[in-house]
Amino acid sequence: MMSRLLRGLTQADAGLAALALVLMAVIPLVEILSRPLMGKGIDNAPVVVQHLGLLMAMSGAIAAERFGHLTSLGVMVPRFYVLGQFGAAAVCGVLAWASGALVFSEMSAEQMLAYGMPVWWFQATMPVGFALLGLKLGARCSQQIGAKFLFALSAPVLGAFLAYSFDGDALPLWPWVIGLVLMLSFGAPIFAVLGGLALALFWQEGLPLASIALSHYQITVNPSLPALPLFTLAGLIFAGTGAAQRLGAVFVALFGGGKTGTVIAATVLCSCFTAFTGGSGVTILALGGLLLPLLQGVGYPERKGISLVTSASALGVLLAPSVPLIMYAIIARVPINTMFLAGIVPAVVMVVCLLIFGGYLRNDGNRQESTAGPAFNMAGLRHAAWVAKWELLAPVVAIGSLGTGFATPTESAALTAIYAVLTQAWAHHELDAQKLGACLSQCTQIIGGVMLILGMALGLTNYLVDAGIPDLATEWVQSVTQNKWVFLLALNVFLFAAGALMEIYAAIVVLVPLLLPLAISYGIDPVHFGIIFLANMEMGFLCPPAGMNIYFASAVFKQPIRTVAASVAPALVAIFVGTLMISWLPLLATGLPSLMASFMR
Amino acid sequence: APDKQLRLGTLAPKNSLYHRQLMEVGEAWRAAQGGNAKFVVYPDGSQGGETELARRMRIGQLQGALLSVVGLREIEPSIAALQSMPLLFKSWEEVDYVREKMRPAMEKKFLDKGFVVLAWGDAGWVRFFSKDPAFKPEDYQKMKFFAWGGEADQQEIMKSMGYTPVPLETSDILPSVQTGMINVVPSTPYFALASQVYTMAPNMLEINWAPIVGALVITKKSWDDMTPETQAAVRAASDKAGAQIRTKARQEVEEAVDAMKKRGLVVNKPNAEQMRAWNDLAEKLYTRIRGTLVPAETFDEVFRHLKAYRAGKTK
Ligand code: NA
Ligand code: NA
Repeated sequence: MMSRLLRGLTQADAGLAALALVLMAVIPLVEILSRPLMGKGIDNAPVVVQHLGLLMAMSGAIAAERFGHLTSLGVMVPRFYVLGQFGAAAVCGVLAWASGALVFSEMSAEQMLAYGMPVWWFQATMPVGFALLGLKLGARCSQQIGAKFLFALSAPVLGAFLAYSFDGDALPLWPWVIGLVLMLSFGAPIFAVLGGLALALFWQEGLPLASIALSHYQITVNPSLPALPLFTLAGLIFAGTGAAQRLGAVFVALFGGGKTGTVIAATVLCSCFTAFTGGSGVTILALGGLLLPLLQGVGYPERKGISLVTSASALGVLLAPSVPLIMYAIIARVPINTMFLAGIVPAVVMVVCLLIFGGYLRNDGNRQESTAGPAFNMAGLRHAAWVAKWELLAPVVAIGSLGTGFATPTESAALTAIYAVLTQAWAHHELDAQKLGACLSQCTQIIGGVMLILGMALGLTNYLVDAGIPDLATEWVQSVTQNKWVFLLALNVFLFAAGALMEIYAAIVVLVPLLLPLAISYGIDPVHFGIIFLANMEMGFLCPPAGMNIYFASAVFKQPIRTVAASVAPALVAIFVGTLMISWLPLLATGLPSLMASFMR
Repeated sequence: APDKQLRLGTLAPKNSLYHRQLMEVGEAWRAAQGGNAKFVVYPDGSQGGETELARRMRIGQLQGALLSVVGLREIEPSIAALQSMPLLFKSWEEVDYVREKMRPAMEKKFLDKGFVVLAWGDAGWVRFFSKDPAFKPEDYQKMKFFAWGGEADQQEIMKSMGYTPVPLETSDILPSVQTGMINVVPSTPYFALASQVYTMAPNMLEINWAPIVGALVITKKSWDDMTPETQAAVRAASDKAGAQIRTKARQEVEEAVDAMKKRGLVVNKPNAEQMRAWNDLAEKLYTRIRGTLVPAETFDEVFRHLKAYRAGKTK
């Protein structure tokens, strides 16, 4: 009895996160329904949903820690694993203190959210969450129960004590930086290293540490942010049912069933799926087991098949409603709809480049396997499309509701998530309560982990802005070259390196504010810049050390990381060519949005 | 690190009138402070939106900010009084008169919340920019209004009067007008020009719905840290900046309307009968606003001052 209660308590994080996510999907729907009735709807609904997002992300992150799903760069020095976890736990202690300071400052000027709930109730999830994360990371330092307790308490308390003693004083930077680099190589979670760096930078100037907590709060409750978990949830649900198989059949029928047709179908399917799953590697998990046998069935070599699925899964980033696309719109303050439109043509260009320059259509070696498959068959396509009608309509629901002015981005995402649940549960009977629970839990953990990284990265960005770095960078680069084409080439090379070294969300949050003013000074449109940026990040998915797709592919296809990394090398070249084309031909990105704008006027 | 820092934030664009005036206040502070004191102005909302600026001041990361009512309300809600009362003010003179009367009490309220008001400014009148031409209140009942996400009370009142508010973020305005999610944007002419809203909603109703007011505030803590001489220098510079912002901003309203007219804006002026309908609507709104959007005593005070001003003028 007691142990069941205890286990229930330790798993409360996942339940709370799932509940918050469900409310985030349901509340916007109630708003849509009550709008034409001019009824009361839900008080302050958008802001309530944003704050539920904070609750969801924080508890999701704690659950992610429990399942070992917080992103790290891997343990390079296993002997010192304990030190990495201890350091991360101490950073969490500092963050708990810093967000506590924020909550106290908010309590002094209480603002109401809705139904008599003050905003700080939700903000209080931050100090509590960071404290719990600190405890759990600390507990990882030992297997022995007594030592576990000792570490769990001492590490975060040490951090909080440091913050309490020195907040507002100017501390030297270098000891911290060295410590953080070591922590990273000992396998500490990325968010803790980023957060530690932001803390150290604010600390060296004697600025209040609550600034970082405020940045984390600011990004988590951003009005466009609820679209992130909701679209991801839709993607996960489709990934967890037979939707992928049905869609695969449609694309195979569309492009003809031969080798060429199957290759094109696989590439398009991976891209479309990633548009929903947001390049979190989920595409490979969902489609890898399905597409590789399909490709091998038409005589495609295994290694090349792995390479194709791994690299094509990186391409959907430019396709609406991908999460990085939304994230860029938020950070660069450009309309989400415009980014959605801008990404369509470049996404197609990327797919074509991958197929042609990646050599995936080339017929090497085994010539006896004919590339001519069964002839295109209209009846077959019609049948496949009918079976997959609910899945094919999902993008229509997502983009249609947004584009026709029926829904805001958050509402459109909520609509899509609920659409996914209803169609898979009722039309296909492939989603039961247990499976839905698993999808909700997985979604909150992914987003919880991402939000931790985003929040800490935004703290870092806030420091860069505070120190006037974007202006300095603009001045410096302008002094080096005035030529736009040279700048674009340099930008691509820089972003390629950044994409390989940085987690995509951290890269968006840190680099966009830094590089956007620079790009604008060369006359580059913010929408075009966004597409260039994300196209480069696609390459980053395929490049060690931060190339997530390689790790996922290695796990799914049971191949060594080195083999997978080598197999995607041609794809990298192809995507780089595509990226250059997108950079040098701005019309590819800006043409469709301006066409639509003149059409709507 | 410098011994003393003054860090000011604003949403106003870099090199705009507002930014330049903040630079002058900062420079006056630095000169009076001496030593290696350093001031930084963060324009373009680089330190976050207005509610964020209020929060960053509260935790001590920023010392001051130039805020519109959106941010000022986070500090002291009763500030919303001046611009939550539609069609109340007939001219800038009336706004100035009432503001001057209420200023000591209002500044005291800010001081109690830990902020010193250095200067008051304004940013023009709110007018309605719509996709289709509209002249009278009922023309707008079939349309959907842009509303700030955070302003729940205001949306409540709009709904109860048969209007449809759609809460959105500022960045969503343009595409939402494009797609028909909203068809009316209440906005100052200056903002409509800068944000290009007028290209999608090219009909402007020429009524002075409400004035947008703003203020330069700094934290009481940083004010108390200054010597009396520094305080005097900062006061003097702020007075000058406030006066500059007020006169220039009013000029900019006219310039903005002219610029938009050249590029296709249609200005719709209500006739006498339509204007009466607007005033009737305002009367109905006042009873709903009193005690909800605006505290009852502040509401009554505004009316008292306005009555006194108009009585003085007719004499
Ligand atoms: Na990356
Ligand atoms: Na808002």
